Amino acid sequence: MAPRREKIGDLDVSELRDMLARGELAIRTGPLTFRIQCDFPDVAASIHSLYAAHPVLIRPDFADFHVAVRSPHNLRRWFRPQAEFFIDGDPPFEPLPRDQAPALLEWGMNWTIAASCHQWFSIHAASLERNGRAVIFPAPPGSGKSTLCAALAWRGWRLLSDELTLLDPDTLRANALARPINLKNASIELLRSFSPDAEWSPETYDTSKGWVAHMRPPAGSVARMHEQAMPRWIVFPRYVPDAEPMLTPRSKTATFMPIAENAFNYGTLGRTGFEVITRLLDQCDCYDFIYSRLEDAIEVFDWIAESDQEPRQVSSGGGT
Amino acid sequence: MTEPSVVASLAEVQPPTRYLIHEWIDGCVVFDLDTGDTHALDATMAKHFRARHEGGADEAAMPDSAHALLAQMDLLG
Repeated sequence: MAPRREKIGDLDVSELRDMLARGELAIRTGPLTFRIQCDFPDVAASIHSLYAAHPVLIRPDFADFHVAVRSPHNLRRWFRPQAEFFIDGDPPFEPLPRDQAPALLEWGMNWTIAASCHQWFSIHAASLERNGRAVIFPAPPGSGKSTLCAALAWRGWRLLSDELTLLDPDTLRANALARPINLKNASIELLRSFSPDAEWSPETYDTSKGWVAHMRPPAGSVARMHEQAMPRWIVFPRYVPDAEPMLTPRSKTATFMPIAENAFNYGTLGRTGFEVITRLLDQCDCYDFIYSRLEDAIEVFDWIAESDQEPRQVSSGGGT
Repeated sequence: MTEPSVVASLAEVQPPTRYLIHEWIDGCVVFDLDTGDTHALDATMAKHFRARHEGGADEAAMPDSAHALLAQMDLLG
């Protein structure tokens, strides 16, 4: 009797490598399916590690995106090998050094979602859920957003996404992608100590972001990746060395533009984008949050979740 | 095809809207349907905007900052 193959982790690495090389393997990440082709063994090993809890899909009838990572056809492949990301056969950006191929696949998949999925309002933000309510972190790179997101995901919050928050424009509910968490530089060692049971991709050095690694999403978050969550808080985290934790309420008016600026499709959606943000701000409490120690941050966010009240209607609006 | 007279009467009942406005206690945001621009106005600027938009503001008495913003929004003559 053939072994059960329900999850990526049920495959052995060599089997996965062969399927990937033939372009037969697909990964479902929340509401989206990526069919992937790649014959690099390190990419196969990375997928095997990072997506172990995700459902395995072999030669699916439909995939939202067909992507590939392969060597570009240029002379550099002979003396300084490179890897290039393709979507539907086209490379949207320049190749990277060959040893960055596993990270390139992750970045390429994120880019594909951000550039294509205009059925949702897409924000460059991390998001997590607790008790059916979601917190959104729309902070810029370097703010400690992914570090905080990873820590919360391993301490009772469900990971929705560490990079892309996708809101349904009608219901405002946030989709769960449950994708690997991209961590950089000192955050990697910090999270290795904080969550010693977490699984990681191999580390990649000398990228444009520095030293990077991806953390496997918690299995519980993957198991619930079809459950949306209603946004309740918008928090702008900022890591400040040696700072005491400080949560400060934020003006909704002053929060509007940072959300719009962090949205990938605010301009594309026009009026719909404006209305999504105003409704989102109506139902969310907004804060700035400074922290230096993850344990402090966990305590603050546990308090936020436990002290939550029903959303209040605090505004008026409309066309004139 | 719609009769011109019907269009005219509808326009009288429902004048074309240029701005979507959403207010909070600390200010408001304004979306310009003509240009696609968005403006976030603090409480003071929101007061000037509302007054001008409703036709009751004295342009000469307006501070420079409000004048510049409202000019950018095509709300000054």
